[in-house]
Amino acid sequence: MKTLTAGESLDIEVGSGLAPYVEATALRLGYAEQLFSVQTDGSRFRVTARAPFDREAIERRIAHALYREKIRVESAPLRARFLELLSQR
Amino acid sequence: MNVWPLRFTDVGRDALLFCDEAGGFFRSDDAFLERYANDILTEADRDFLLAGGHSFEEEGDRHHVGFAARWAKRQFVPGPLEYIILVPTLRCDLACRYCQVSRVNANARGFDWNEATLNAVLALIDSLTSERIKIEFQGGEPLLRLDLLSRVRDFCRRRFRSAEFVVCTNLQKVSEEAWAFLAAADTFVSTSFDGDALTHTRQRTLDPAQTATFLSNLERAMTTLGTGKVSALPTIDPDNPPAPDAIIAGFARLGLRSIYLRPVNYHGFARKRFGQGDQQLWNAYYDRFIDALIAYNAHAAEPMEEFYFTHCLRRIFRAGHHGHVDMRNPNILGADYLVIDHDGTLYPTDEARMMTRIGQMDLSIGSVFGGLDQEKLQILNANSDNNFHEDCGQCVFQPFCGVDVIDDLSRYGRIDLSRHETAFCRRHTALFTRIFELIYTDDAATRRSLAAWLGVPAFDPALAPVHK
Ligand code: SF4
Repeated sequence: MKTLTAGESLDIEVGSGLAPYVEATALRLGYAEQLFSVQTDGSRFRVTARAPFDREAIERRIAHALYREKIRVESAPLRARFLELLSQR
Repeated sequence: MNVWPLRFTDVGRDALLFCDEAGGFFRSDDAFLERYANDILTEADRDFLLAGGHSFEEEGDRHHVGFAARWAKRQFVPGPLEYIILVPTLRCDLACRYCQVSRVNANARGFDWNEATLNAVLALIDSLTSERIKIEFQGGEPLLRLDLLSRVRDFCRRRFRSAEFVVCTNLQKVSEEAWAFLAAADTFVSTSFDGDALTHTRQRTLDPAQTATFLSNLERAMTTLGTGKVSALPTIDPDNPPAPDAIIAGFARLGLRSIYLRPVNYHGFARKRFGQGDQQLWNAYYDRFIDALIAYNAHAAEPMEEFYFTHCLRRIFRAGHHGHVDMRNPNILGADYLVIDHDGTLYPTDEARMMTRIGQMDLSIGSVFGGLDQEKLQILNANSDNNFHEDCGQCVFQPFCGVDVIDDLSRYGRIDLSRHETAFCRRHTALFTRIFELIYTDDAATRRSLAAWLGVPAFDPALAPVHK
């Protein structure tokens, strides 16, 4: 298990299936994440630790954030339809 | 099959907590997340999700309708105005350390309702459409104006089918006439007791003799009025808190079973000091307090609770548990409850009254003479729900959580901060994280406390679903 020291960076590649969600994920992590900063070129993340941080934990956090964004986008029509139905009642 | 959007959070190594927007939750792992997010669910996943109410086959089927009903029940829909906080006087005979803004000296003039204000208050109460009313008398020290309290109570008893009164008093000087007033079956007492005599003296009376008087009045209230009619709330200074065990023992000794811990409510400059670091300090103390309660309840014949923890726990298991005005979603202000100040000014909450009083921001919403300022209320209520908030929308705790616009305004002067930067969010993230930790523990003592707090005979492990 490798720990990133404060200021150290790590590049995380993103599979093509999650590429559409990279920008929004980076934007969100940019303001919500306290422990590291995030930059992206659209297909991968460059993560820089603000404090010592376990590398695997960072990778897991990034994966979770990507999945959250994917779920949000893909379930938006279902959610919108649900709210539309409710507003008709 | 359609799966309702699931939010999730990391709750340990390869463990994730999932929750849908209607508040249905379960624990699973990263492998399930990958199957769900990539739409490669197994048969077992599908069965589990359908049985748990997290999915439906067709619009309008029982799973769909059931979810809609559960979702709707989680939304707070305000009823008619029937809970009013009245401040008939700002005068008080104590000068508690952190209460400079909400009181004036007992002999000050011009800080009580005059006859015109009283009449306007009664006219406003008379105009309500509800058949029942709850009046909370605050101050200052309301018992300094027993005459006003009596007139309001007499009026409400005549006017409403059911009326309930709470007197928020420091129980410092209670005349025999006041004891008689408090003895009525429809009248309740709420007081502050900071857990032990030393802390109470340091924070409130500054005089051990006065503290002794208070404690003997509190004991008298418990014995003569009855335990069910008295509540006492400790105010905690996170920089110098009493030991949790001392508070629990102090309350238990008095026969009080519910403790509502409140951090010192600083205002203005003092609040700036109570910043992010102190929020962590508070969360850590609160955690220790819950541990101490669980340890106490493991052997106690009569279990004890922390009121807000129990409230939030119940919000998880019971949709529609909206009984706390600071913790609802949407949190519509100026609808079902209202604060009326000593000069007849209306406020949406007591916090809003404080903010206005110190000149931080005018959050008054009208007066008893001119009615509600609907335009201002609309502005305040435009951001009163968390369903569509960017941050809350990705938060696993959203269905159980709430919104407190006034708290955000009070602390930051704005409401557009990232939620995670707000004290409200940090507090509730910590609180719900802790509650779910307890829900998923198999420790017998913890389960005993959970059952007591939920009001069930035993905590059924089925209440904590897991899917692998
Ligand atoms: S305020 Fe915080 S804890 Fe509450 S729902 Fe929003 S993001 Fe979640």
